[in-house]
Amino acid sequence: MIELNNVKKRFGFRTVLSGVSFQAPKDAITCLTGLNGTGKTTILKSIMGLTPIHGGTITIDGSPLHHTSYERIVFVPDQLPMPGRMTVEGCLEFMSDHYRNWNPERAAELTQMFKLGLQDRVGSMSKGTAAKLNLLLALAMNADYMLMDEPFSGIDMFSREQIASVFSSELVEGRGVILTTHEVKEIEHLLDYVVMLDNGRITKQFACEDIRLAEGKSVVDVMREVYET
Amino acid sequence: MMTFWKLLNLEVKRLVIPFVIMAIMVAAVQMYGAHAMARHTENEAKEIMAREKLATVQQLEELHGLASYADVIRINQSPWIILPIGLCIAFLLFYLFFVWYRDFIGKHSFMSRLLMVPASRHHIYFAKLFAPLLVIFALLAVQLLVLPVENRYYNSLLPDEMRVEYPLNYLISAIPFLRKLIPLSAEQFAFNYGMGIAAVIVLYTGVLLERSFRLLGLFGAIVYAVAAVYIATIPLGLGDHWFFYEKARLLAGIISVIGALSLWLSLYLLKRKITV
Amino acid sequence: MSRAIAKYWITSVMVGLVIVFAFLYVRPGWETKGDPKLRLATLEGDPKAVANLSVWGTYRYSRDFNSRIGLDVDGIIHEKEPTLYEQTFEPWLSAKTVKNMFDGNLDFLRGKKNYGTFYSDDEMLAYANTEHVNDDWVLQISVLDKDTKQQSDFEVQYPDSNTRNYWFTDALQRAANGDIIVLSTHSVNVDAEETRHDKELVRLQIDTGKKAISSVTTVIAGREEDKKQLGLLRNTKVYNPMPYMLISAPMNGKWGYYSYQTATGKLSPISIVKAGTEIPTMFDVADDRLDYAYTDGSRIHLQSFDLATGQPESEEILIDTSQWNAVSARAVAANPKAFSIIYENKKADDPIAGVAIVDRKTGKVIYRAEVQADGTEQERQEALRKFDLVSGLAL
Repeated sequence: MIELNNVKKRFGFRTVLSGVSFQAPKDAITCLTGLNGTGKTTILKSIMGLTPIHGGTITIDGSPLHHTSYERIVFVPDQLPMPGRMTVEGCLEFMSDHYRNWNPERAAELTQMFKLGLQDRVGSMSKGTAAKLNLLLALAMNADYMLMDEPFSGIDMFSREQIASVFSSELVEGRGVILTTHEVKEIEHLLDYVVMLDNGRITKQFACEDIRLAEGKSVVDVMREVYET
Repeated sequence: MMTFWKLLNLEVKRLVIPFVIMAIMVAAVQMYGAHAMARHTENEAKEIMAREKLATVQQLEELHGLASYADVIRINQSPWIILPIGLCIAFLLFYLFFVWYRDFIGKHSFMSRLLMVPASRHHIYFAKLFAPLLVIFALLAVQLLVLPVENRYYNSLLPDEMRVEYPLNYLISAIPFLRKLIPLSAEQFAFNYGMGIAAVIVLYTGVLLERSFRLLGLFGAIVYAVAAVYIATIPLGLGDHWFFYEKARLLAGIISVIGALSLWLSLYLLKRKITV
Repeated sequence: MSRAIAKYWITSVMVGLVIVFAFLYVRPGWETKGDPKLRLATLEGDPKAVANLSVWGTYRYSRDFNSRIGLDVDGIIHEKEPTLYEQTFEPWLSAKTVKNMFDGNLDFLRGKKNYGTFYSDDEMLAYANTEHVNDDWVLQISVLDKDTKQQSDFEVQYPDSNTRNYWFTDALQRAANGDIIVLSTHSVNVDAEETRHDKELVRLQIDTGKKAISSVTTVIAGREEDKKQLGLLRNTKVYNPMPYMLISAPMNGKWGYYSYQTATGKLSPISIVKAGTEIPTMFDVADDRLDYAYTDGSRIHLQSFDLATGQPESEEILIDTSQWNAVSARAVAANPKAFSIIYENKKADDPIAGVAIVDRKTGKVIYRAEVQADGTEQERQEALRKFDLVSGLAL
């Protein structure tokens, strides 16, 4: 379980997270949602140690982040974080070089599935292709947790569907997923938990099952309620 | 440790094209310079012999001495030698910033990937420190290999009786710029390059300060660099009650301390404070 | 393995180049490639009789490159790059002088100017330096008692502070009563254009207890002529106790040499007879004896004088180096037993550069060596032609 407890974060004099606490269990998909600039990406980066926090604690299965944790927790940023001159093959090689949990067979499968050319260079890829490669690099790792930042933003419909299909496949089965998005609609049926943020604070968090059963509402309904009031 | 070699390999690979360009440029420009210098020497000899009505090169040698390659590059402070080296230095200085910023800035910021490699972040730092150093020393090797070839080429363009043999260290000391780059005393060499490496570490600390705290960090980086330079120059301002070797040792000591402190600070920033 | 090579070859090449650089940098040969095959070859006498069988000279490699090289029986010795420690005192004090004279009292050298003058004996170290400070000529003095390590630093004013005139420290000695004796040159401007100067050598006796000048006397005064300088011959940086010093000055309308007795200040003319064509090459003062040598081409004339009286101590010894085909020769050093000489003939087919040690009583050669070269005839001649001897054999 990934657990955030009273996490605070500033950029200069601006507070971006003020006491964020939530839990994202393994074997569940947790969605961080909220309007732009509410601190969703900052939370993911804080979990990954890509930006320091100024208060509170973050633990992964009870322990703070350590460099060995990167074998168990993978991050898919909104842009593919690979040098523009690197080829797909180079990216795969980089991952297999550094990660013991890298699964080359799965990588090969996904390369085929996403129809990626091994000699294609990162810099000359379309946004959709880059997003697929970005996802591939995470999915081919035998990691326990997967953090995804806006996996659907700015990509064409066809790629979106292909990416969305991944969430319902065995590829994410058994893993804990935290994803950020403000476009919940397409994946609403896949979500287990939702954490709603506004201005660096959690405004509401709930299990999707609960509100469906108890209140008969969809996630989008709740979002509308929260953000429109 | 393997992570370090892998990351170093990656960084070196990213530098290999600039390295090849620099090496070819240095060799080509300097060889062309040797050609130009040989023509210059030959013309000058002909001129002197005609003007002073000398019949043989031996007479010329007795009266004026023979101009070796080292003599002509020294007299002319040959731009053919200085210019390509200067360009390499300018590029490498730029690269010391670029080696960090290119992984932070742009559409695909590679730095987050690097920071998430499941190994100590020290390896990233040392890979980015050693890759340019490897290239610098490899370029020095190219220079040391090319110099005698230039000398031989220069001689080959001259008539037999005008060729001069001399120790290669004279060729290096012929241009003060070259002598600073390749000091002939090992002590001086260690001193110059130790100072250079310390300066790179301070520069990297500045970059990491900026990358950790952005605008505030940039201000901090400037203050840090100015303070480091100020402290490092204290021994130079000491009066003549200090012996030169004491000042030099003090300077070496201060620079070592600044280097070590900056290294520690850099590694700390990379581990705890960096923001992608 | 082959995968690893394929993957890491670029880094391996770079590391390889760095190793190449290290090899090229440290390998011997940077300073010896292109060296002539010169060496010192014994022609007469027993090499064991010579304290240090090596000489220094300059070799003209090319138009602008002359290098100071040493030669011994095995070949060329190159000077090493000075270390940071050596760079501190070189070139104004050799590392050897620092070790011999200031060992254990190195702190005494702190803040001392390289144009100052030093004195060292068993009991004390002293330093004197002339500076022009605030329109005044001052003499800066430092004295260190080697036993008690007590150091005193003070300044005294020169008697003439006219800024159009100049003072310069020449020599430093110690008087029997512990006073410091400074010999300074006083250069007095005699015309408005400052083109001509009268010079006087002034003796200042300084009481180190009172930190004041106790007496000022003019040793000798006169007007300088072209290429003839009034003052001490053979100035050094560090003076040992010298009962006598040698002065060059006008003497009854002609220029001559005087011996100056440090303790009493007595000046005695030395009866060196000058024909006018000779070239003096050696004035070696040791205690109360002057070893003087001049040359007229290939012949070296050596004679000793008693500095107390200014009279010759011995008959003139003549060494004719034309017996070794030399055309020029000079004496370079003397000790109570022998002289060290150099002889040369650049114009010979095989140019000659030789050194010898000659018995001072008999004029006989104790040891003689010549610079020889190996290789083809052309290489040998070229190497010898480009080499010039600077020092002879040390005694």
